[in-house]
Amino acid sequence: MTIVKNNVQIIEGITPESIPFDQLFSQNKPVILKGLVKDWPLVKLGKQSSAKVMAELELHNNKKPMLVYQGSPNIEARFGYNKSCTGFNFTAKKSTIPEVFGDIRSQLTQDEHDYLYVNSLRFDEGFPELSQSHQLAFTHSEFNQNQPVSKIWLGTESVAAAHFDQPKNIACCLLGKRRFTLFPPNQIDNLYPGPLEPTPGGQVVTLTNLSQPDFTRFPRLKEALANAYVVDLEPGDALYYPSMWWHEVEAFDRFNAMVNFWWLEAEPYLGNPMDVLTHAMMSLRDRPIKEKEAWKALFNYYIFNDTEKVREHMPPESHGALATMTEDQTRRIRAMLRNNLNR
Amino acid sequence: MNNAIVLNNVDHKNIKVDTRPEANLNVNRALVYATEISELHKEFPLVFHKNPETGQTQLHAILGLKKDENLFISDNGWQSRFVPALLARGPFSLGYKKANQDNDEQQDPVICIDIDDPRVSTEHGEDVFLQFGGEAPYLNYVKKALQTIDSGIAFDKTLYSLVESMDLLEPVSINIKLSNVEEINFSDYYTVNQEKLSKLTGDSLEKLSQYGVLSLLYFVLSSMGNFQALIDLKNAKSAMC
Repeated sequence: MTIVKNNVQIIEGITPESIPFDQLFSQNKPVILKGLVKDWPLVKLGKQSSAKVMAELELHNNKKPMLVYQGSPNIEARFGYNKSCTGFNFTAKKSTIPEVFGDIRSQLTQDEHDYLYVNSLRFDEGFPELSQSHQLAFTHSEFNQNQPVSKIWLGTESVAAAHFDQPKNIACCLLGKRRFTLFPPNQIDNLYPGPLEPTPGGQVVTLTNLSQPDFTRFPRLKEALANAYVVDLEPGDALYYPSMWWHEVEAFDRFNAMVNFWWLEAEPYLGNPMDVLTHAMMSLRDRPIKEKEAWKALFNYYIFNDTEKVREHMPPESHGALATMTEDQTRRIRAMLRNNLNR
Repeated sequence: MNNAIVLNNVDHKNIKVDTRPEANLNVNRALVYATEISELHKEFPLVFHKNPETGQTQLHAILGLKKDENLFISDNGWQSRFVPALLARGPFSLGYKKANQDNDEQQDPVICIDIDDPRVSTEHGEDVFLQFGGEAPYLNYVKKALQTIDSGIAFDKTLYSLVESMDLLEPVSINIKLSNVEEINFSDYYTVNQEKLSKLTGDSLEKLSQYGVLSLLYFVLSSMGNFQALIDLKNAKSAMC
C-alpha cells in the first residue's frame, strides 16, 4: 500500500462534556479525540474482557428483532458485492442480539468462522439504558436544529468499503481495534464508486479493496491513497470527521463494538441532495454537450456561486425561491416538483 | 384465479382498466367500510348484515332490489356521486411488503393488480400510468378507494365492538311492495335501535363520540330514507322498459 503523508490532528485530554466543537468544525478535516470516552462503562468493562461486554450488552438488550449481515469465512471480513455487482457476498436477515452473540461465541475457538455484523442499529432502541449512560454533551448552536442520532455497530471482524455519508460523525470505539481510512470528497474520481443500487448499506461504495489494491484495474486508486487519512482507534478513542468524506471502516477483533453520533448541519426541511443528483441523471446528463455547458453555467450561477449576487439587484419582495429557503417555500416547491414529475 | 402482483410503472406501463359498467358491477349490495359511511349515507341505504352462520357483522350498501340489480349504474357508469370503495378499487388491492432496511416491524402497503382480471388489458379502458410513468388520474382514484378500505378495516372493528357492547342493533325487516305483484324481502339485516341510541347517557355517549362513531350511527339511521329513492329509481327504470 502506498505510504500516506497526511497527518490527522489529535486532541487529547477532553471528556464527553468538553468537546471543543468550534475547533472541530474549523478544520473541515478528520480529528482524533484521543481517549474521549475512556470512562464510558462499556469501555472500562472491555478492559477486563470482551466476554463481559457481550454479557452486559445482552443483559440490557430489548430482544427486539433487528437486521444482521452474515457472510461465510471466504468473504474475509469484507462485506461487499457478488461478482456481477447485482447482489452481495453476504445475506441480511432478521435476528436478535442473543442469537447473533450466540453464533459469534459458538465459533470463537475456530480459525475459520462466519462474519456477523449488526450495523447502524439505533442505540436507544436496541439498548435503552446503555444509550443513556453512553452520551456526549452536544453543546453547540449547530445542534439546535438537528439533534444527533446515536447508532451502535457490533460484530466480528468487518470491513465496510469506503463510502460517504451526508451527516457529520463522531465515532466512538468501545471494544476492539478499529481503523478508518478517510478521503476528502474530491477524491471521488480516484475511488471507483460502484452501482447506485443495490448498495450494501444504503450508500454507494468503492469497488476497490484498499488493503489489497489492484492498481491494474484501478490505477487512479494510487492517487486516492496518497490523499488518504488513516486513523487507528483503540477502545476509548473517538474520531470526528466532516460530512461527505469517504471512509472505509475496519474492525479487527473477534468481537468489536462502536457507537457513533451523526447529525446534519442543514435545516431539516431542505430536500435531499441525492435526489438532486438522481434527478440530474434523469434530466440533464444525457442532453447535448452544449446544452449541458449552459446548464453548468446556470447551476454555478444559481446554486454554487455567491447566492447574494443572484438576488442583490432585485427588490426583496420579488426574490421567491432565490431568497434563503424557508420551510414554507420548500413546501411550495415540493408540491410544484411533485406535480411536474408526474408525467 | 386471483393473480395479484405488485404494480409498477415499468412492467405495467401500457396497462389499461376497463371501467365500463358491464363487468363485475352488477351486484345488488356492496360491503362498505366505516370510513365511507359519512359519504355513502347520502345516497345509499346502509344496513348491518349479520352472517347467520358465522355471526360476523358487516355493513352493506343496498344498490338494487333484486338479484344482480344495481340501480346506480347506467350505460354511462355510476350515476351516484359516491361509489363504495370495494367496487371503486377495480382489479387493484393492497398488499404488505416487509420493510427490510429498517429495524422496526413496520410494513409498507403496496398496490397490487390482478393481471388476470378480465377488466385488465392493454387495449381498452383507463390508463393506469401517464406517458412517462407518472400516476394517471384513475390510479389516484383507485388509491383513494384502497386507502378507504385499508383504514376502514381497523375502524370497522371499533364500530362493531362498540355497537355490540352497547347492544345498539335491532333486526329490521324490509318489505318493499313495488307493485301489486312484485314484493321484495331482505332478511338477516339490522339497523341502529334509535330509541336505545337516543337514551344513551354519560360514559357510553362520550365513548361513541370520542371514537367518532356517534355521528356514523345517526348517518346509518337516516340512510334508511334512501330506500324510497331506490324504489323511485326502480319504478322509473320499469316505466322506461
